Amino acid sequence: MAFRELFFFSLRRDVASRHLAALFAVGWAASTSLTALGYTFAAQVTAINVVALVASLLSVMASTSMTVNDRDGVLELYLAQWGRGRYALSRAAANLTTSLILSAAVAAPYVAARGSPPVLLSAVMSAGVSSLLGTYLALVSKNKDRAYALAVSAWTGLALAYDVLIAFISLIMPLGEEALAALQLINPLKLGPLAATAAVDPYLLTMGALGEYVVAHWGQGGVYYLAASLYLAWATALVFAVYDTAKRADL
Amino acid sequence: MEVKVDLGKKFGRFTLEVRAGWRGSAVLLGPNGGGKSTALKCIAGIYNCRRHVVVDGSPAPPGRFLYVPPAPRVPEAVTVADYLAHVSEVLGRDVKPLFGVDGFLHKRGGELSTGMAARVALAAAFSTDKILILDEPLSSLDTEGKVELMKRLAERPFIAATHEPWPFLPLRPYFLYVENGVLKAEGGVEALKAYYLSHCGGGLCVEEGELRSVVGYGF
Repeated sequence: MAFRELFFFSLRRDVASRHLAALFAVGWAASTSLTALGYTFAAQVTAINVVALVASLLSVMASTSMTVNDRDGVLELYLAQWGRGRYALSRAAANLTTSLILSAAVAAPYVAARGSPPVLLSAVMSAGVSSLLGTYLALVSKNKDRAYALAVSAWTGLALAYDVLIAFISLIMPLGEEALAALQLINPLKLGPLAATAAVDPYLLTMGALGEYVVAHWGQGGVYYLAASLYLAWATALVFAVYDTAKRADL
Repeated sequence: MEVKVDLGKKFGRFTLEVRAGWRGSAVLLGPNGGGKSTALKCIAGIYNCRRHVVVDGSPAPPGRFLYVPPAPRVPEAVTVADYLAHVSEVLGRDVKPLFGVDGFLHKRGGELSTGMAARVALAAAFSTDKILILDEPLSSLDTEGKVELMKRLAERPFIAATHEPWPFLPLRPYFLYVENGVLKAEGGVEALKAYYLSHCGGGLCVEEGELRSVVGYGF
């Protein structure tokens, strides 16, 4: 089966590479140092967000790397043997599996030391959608440099600049609670931390007025279903984008 | 093997429109940027093109062909042995250590010269039963490698693009001259010889008389 070959070859070729090993080491160090914050409620919410950031960066870069590196001597073989559609879906699945394992490993020190499963949930959810995004960006890129630049830009935009931009817009054009909720829920990288935060903070007190609005409209459990539904919608859309791009693009 | 192709592809201002047919193997000639590689990538399904390829009267999907790029690469971090093992897994058959690759199985992809990487790619390609599509296969090989390549190509159908048609002459392929994305001329060995005799000049000039291979092997 194509998935098995791609998965194990990627482990040897890409996961052991210097830049992915360095990113993994940074993630591991961050997760370990977060345990020093203690057992408090705020510490867990901080860990949820920091681990999600690291897991999403690691996943988007790993998936981009695994996909573009196929162009070094194996892509032609894969296409001849499996065809475009099967290659794309198998590559996406191999990237996703690798990313989930890496992100779970990044979250492991915190979860082991502090026993907080929501941190693992946040890491895994962020990694999943980031992996699909990285695979898609690598397929649409003509060369490696462009693929990595797009991956870093997408992560920076969605994970870092997004909240700053919303805060800035709010200053010059006050947004209503509905708009703020929609803007948070429309960002695929926010859905993991949102669901995880809801697990440790059922009333979403750490999200201020926005949390109050969400709980008032969808209830305590509602935010899980809402985040999960939107997450599945994003994941489905990205899988379709990967498949469609592989079918249409000049690879 | 009888092949018919009808290919179309547009890149900005460049348009490829090639319709051709031949028996046996074929070699594409033409200037840089003329559309040879694009045509090969269309046939192999690497590029998404208007593609109608018929082999022996039946439509031939891209999976019937295997494209070998002009400067093949082996992944930097893996050894040649690991790479060939992976290729064997994908193909479901053992890759034979052709082209002298057994001499550097322990080397990593990043340690290989362009010629060594080309030999590895050719060893993998010749282990398949697919119709080989070779893009500038001679550009990285030494004389010994060229001789082995031609001997092996004599045993199976292929489609190649090259700026060095001479080593292919003993195989008597069909020549297609592609320029500006259009098939400008076609014919057999005699037609190629006539073309070069009428355009004699510099390194491309051949003496009138018997054709001889430049790599010095006999067929």
